[in-house]
Amino acid sequence: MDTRKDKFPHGIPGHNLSEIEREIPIEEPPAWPINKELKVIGKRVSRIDAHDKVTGKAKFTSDMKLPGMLYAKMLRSNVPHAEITGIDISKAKSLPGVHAIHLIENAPKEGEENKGSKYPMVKYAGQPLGGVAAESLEIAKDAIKLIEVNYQIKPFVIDMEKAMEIGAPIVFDVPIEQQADGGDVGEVHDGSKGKGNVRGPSTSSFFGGPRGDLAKGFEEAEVVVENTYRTQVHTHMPLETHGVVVDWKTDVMTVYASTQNTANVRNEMASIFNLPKSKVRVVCEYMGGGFGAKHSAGSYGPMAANLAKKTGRPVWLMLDRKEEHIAEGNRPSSIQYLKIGAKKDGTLTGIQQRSHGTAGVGLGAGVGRIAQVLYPCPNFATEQYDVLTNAGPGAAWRAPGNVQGAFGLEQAIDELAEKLNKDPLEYRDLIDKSEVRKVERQRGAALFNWSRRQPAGSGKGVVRKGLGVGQSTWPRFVTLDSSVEIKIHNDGGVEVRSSVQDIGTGTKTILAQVVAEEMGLQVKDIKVNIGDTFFPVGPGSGGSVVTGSITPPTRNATFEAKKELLKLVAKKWETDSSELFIKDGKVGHKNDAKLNMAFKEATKLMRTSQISKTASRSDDYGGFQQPWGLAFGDLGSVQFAEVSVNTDTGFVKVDKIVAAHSCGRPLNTGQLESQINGGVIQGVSYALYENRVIDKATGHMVNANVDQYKVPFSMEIPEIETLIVEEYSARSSTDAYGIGEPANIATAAAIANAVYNAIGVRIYEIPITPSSILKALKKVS
Amino acid sequence: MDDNKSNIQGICKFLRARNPYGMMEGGEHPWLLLDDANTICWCINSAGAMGPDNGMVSPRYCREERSCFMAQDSEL
Repeated sequence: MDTRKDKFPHGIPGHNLSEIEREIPIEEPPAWPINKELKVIGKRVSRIDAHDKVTGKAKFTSDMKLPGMLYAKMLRSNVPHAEITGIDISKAKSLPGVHAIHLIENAPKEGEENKGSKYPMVKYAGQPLGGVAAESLEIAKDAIKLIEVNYQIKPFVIDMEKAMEIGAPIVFDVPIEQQADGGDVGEVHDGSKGKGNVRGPSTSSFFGGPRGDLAKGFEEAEVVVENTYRTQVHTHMPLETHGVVVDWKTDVMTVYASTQNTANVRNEMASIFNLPKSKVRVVCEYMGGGFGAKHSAGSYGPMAANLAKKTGRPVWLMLDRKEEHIAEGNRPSSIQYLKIGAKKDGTLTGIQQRSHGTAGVGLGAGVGRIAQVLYPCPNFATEQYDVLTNAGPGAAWRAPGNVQGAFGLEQAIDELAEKLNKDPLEYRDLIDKSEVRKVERQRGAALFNWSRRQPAGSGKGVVRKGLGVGQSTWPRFVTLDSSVEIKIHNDGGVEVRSSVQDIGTGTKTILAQVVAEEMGLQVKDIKVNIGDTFFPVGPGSGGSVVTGSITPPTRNATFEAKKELLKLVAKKWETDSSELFIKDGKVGHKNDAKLNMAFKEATKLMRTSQISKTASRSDDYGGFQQPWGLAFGDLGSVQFAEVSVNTDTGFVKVDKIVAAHSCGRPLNTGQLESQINGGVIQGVSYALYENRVIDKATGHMVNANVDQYKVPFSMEIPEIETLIVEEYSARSSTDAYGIGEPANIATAAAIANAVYNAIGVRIYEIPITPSSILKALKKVS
Repeated sequence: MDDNKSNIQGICKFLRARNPYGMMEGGEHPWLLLDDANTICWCINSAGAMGPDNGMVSPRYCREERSCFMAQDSEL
């Protein structure tokens, strides 16, 4: 085997740091020491693109302007459920400035729903039906208004609980005769199996299925908590909406996309238009945020391409804010029943979870795996059901399911602790076996001053303070299809190339840091060219996989390129390259201080214009927990919340969040803090403000804007203190992981627990509004 | 979850799925059905959550018996 043994740091500095020997591929670089011994890694390095972003130099997809470019607008349904009997485009077609109209059409076949029409059946208000390309966006919008769509209206259902009733309007006409979706076949508690709009249950995850004997577990229980928790539909609000600019030339289709996954958009467009992947290029140089819904080409990608094909001109198609709300994905709602049993000493004996959620016309509204894995319990079962409604489809949304699941689970654990007469934090110390969360609880509690917490509802006065805590776990996933090319040019330049995109979290900067650390240079010496599918394929930005997937091959390719360069210097110095090193921009010799050469001078020794090395993500050292890239360990987090609740107005103010997180070896503390801040703010927003409201009479979202769809303003954002726990597990050449998902999971639960601590009455539904507080206090009916 | 559920054979070439941890494409072991309670599906042919036949999009439904099915190696 082409391996060697090396010793790596292992554990948590200040807690249990030790060393571990790993067998690693022979070509990989030696172990890095812990961060305090490194020059660039783990430091607060400014974003390399910060200047371009704040000065407006950075060009986002929506900024693209190409010669001859047309502007497009989508035609969308304005009813929630209907057959389309005809679409008249004659008036729009004759509008000056309109270049092309493309309608989505099918080839109906016998036996299909809506077999009499070539147009798609409408299943939700806002569903895409077509598009117009015109000289300007204004003309395209005017043309859309001139298109007449004739609908044959059908009954529809928006409310999830109504949709679950026998006899409710059916979203999909195809009868459900077997358990066909959502996973495993299981017994259903309410007789809805295989009928109407309810699909499921899913009873397992990749961590397995039910455990033990639930009935026996509850028989053994001396204390039981049993409640139902509700969460709302949460839409996506990235600053930059979904969209593309498609420039389809004879040889190559170039797609400028606001995407979390350039490679996947490339693959989708190649499949849809039957092109080789080599003839589709997707570019995303700057990206204005994405939280899980931007992994696809969507409907707008193929629409822009069809319009580009029809006109022979580049087409710009960015969605507006309303379209973003109604049609481009959302975090599904949930109604979660949880029953947890424990012995008097606190030992968990049983966890039962049953959830219903709606992802509109789509599936995937489960509440995640957090109840299954956060606290070891011998007896566990879950049933997770999808409920179809005539609303826009769900999409991945920062820690899909787990945010909803944590809201229920972490409140139930607090309730259990109270019944057991234990402090919530001490109780978690008892039942949580994670070493990193133990450290996070200890350090977080000290920073937060948890000891000042008073019994629930014991405060006096109108405004009452409350403290709460919530925990989370997120698996360490890596995408093995992650590659990087490193180039050393003969003018001293060093370049990183990959299709991986920087969605705003700072991927460019951490790649530059990794290369600078390995190459003995400064971050400013590294040019990062990513977000282009003409470069080696990188991972999608989702599931917190980017850092763990792309930084090890980046370091490994840099190491290989460095070795090539050092061989050239060694030849000149007539020595062995293993005796050489690069530090502070200079090549040196370990045993001869007189031998040194500037890095730039060394690159002039190259006989070719560049050294180019490409590396792909190798298996984790020691292998994976699951063969497809699930690493050992977890990204544990503990968040503490301090709130003030006005018992007269019901107004809740989150005063402070202390967010304690781990992500393996931290690469850039400033960027990690920034990402955690973002996660916390979204958690506050989810807990108190955001809520999709659809008019049940018309099927239209009534707050599809940035006014009535409430997100926190600066005065509503709490003080946030982050605490990053370094944790070394010696699993790759960088030993680093992401933080995107974990930053967002526990916040709403921590706030809900703090609200309970403040007023002594528990709120089981988010968003927690003044109305829900006053109702809980029985001040209004 | 059974290993064979992650096998994309027999599933329409236009189905796409994303679970919380990644896409179904890429690598030797596509993540198609892993943790499927949170797997979101869409059809790239109809560009949405409904198939060209107006039916629901899911790995269990998007198979040969469906009128709009396209095999992995087929061309439009």
